Amino acid sequence: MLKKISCSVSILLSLTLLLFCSRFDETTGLGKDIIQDIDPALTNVNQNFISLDSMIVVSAFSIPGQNGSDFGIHRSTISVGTKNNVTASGFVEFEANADFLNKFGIEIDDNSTFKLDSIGMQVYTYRDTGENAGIPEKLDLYACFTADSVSRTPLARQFPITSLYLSEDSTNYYGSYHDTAMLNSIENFIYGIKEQLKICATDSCKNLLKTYLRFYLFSDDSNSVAHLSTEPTMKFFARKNLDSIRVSITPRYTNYVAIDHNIDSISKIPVSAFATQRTAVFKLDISNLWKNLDSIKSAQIISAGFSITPKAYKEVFDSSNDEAAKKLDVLYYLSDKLYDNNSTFHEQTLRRVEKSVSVDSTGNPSDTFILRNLEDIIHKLSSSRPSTVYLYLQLTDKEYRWKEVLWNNPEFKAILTTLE
Amino acid sequence: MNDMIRKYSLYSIIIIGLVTVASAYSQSILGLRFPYGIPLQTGTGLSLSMGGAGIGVRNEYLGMADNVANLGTINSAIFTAHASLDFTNIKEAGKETNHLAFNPHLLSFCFPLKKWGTLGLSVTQTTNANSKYMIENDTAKVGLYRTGSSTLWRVGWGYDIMKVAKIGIAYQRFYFNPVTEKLRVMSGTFPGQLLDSTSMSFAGNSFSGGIQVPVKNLTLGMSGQYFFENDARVVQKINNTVLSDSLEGRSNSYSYTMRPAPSIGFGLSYQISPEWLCAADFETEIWNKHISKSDIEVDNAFGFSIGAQYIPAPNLLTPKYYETMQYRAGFRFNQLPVPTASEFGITLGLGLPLRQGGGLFDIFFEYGQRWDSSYKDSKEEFFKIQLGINAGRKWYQSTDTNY
Repeated sequence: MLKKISCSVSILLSLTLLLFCSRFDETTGLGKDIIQDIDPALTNVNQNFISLDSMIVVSAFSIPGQNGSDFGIHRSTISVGTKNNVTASGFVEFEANADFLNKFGIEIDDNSTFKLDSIGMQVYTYRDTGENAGIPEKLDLYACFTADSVSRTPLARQFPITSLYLSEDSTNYYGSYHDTAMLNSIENFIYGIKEQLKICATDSCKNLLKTYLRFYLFSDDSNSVAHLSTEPTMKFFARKNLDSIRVSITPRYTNYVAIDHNIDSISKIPVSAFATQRTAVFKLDISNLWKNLDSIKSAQIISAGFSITPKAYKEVFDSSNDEAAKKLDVLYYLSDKLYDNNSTFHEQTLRRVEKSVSVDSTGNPSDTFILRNLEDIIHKLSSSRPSTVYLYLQLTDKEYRWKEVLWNNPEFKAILTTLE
Repeated sequence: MNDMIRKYSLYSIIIIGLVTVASAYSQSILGLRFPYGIPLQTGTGLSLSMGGAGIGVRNEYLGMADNVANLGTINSAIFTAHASLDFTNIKEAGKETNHLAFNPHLLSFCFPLKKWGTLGLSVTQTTNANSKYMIENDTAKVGLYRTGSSTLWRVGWGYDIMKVAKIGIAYQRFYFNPVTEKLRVMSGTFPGQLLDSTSMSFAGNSFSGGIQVPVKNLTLGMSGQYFFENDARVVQKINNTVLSDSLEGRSNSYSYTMRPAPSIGFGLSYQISPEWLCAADFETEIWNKHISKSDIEVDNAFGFSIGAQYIPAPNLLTPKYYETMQYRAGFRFNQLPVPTASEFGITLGLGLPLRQGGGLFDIFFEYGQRWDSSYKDSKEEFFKIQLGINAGRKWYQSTDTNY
């Protein structure tokens, strides 16, 4: 009997639960009269939020990637060529050390003959993109006799070694050289290491036995750029006694420098450019914001940001099938400090917005970028209340295309709430 | 085998059901105006199913929940637990919302100490401060959330004075830790959230005492409790939250003196016959002795409860099961802490004896309403499915029993 009753009660309970569960509310909006007596503001949604848009654009310009420079530096990647008044050249540095000897199979007490016949360099381009159309037919390789990986002085182009030629399928560049002087110097280096290893007992001593092979890559093409997907590989073709040996090494460091030839005009407009790493800057007068905040009792900024529209795109492919080609990844920041280059600006915590672009029938950009999450900066600024702040916009460095965006003036919006 | 499968299936359904609703939200908007939320009755299944009347009832399964003097009646080791499924319907101007929650209320142990009386330990939820109010439009919403409850941890001792009276006294530790959040959320183009969170923490000492005097079939009882002042600590934090990132906020903390309201109650029960028992209580929460920082006006809250129990064949040697079941009903009316607020409840339920005198399973239903005459359009209806389990075992035979 007890079991039957327990079963009935259990089933009844479970059915009751199942029946009612679907129509239970987590919150209630009823009881406004009661809430009115506790906190009147909570009975009217709109009463809790105030929008402010009081910010004036004083000026707009762009700052370079490096202090006082006209170029941007990109590490671990290489682009070579000229486009839109920007010229890029590559730098590559290989390290030849004690392991280098092992790669050729040469032992310390080995008496076999060793002869270096030629050296080649190969590098691959990005495949399956529109970027490969019209890229330079050849890249020129120059020897670099200093450790200067950044400046591209005329000295850099004094010692051409050879040219790397584009393959028929446009997938890679390759070139070799047989310059006796350089081949001899490498041979001598290898023999030198071999002799020194005989008297070198410790690892620290072995680590000192190294030299660097440095090269520049230039292109004479004035209207195309080769974006290289891989770092250059150096190939050594040699003979040990009668055996042919082929050894490949990869660089320890690469970069490319993109120099802007139009620096005077470009620095006066708010442009974000990937290649030259220019950052668009808007100087904003926000004194009205502080006045408005003062006029509202117990105001807290719940949300603040900008909406901004691009005026013109370069190298952004709206019609491309490649999603990355039409995507813009924008980093932004707001500060009361005027930074004169990106390197100091990068120490800040940047915000990020990503968007696939689109253009209207006339080819003009039809996108609006929303720059959110700036309320914490406004909060911090509210203690010092500067009359001027700067909005920085740059394109992310996770790219290889030379995208550029010229921006229209931004519009500010802050949403405040009041606290009792 | 089939019985076992059926048994475990049923238990599984019940457990899953309870776990599901445990995450749901019990709430009362009226309770936002009461210092500790909605006051809850603190009895066990036996008294609660008789409208809450238990101060003057002597029964081992009451433990010390209604009157600590009842410990003097107990000469077995007793375990009691009680919980309820609370369905709440909030009404205002023709609109309504429904809410459900599972609330554990009481856990109690009693240990007889032979001639030194009986020791009791219990933890009881005494108020429920949960409220979750929110209104919104297309792009923004504002809300007021309060969560928390007050609990009373008790250690009591009861003694039977020469069969003339039972007395009891208990030390109590009172805890109240509500969190009140005011929420402002903006969605749309510039989303953001501002959370004004106020955490209050109070722990205080108190004592309760009681007496029960049996006069033939009548038992008179009195019970009361008094709380001592202590500091309540409040921490207020204001945080901006944008998407999933919590930005740097600001906080503020302070303390103030607080004392919960003392209470006193009187009760009586009358054993009309072996089959029939009736009981009534009259209680007062003395809110004008309450100390807090709240500026909401509170007033002494009176309440009464009345109920009866019927057992068809309490003394038959071989009764049918339904003849041993305890049929109970009751009614209660309570003023709430603010002068214009009240509630009533009607209860109906069963006490189901477990096999071989192993205990009692209580199941009963309570329907009631609460209202505040200051808010004519607002009303809250509640329906509770209350469940209790009572078990006992005699550790020794009372030496004063004559054969």
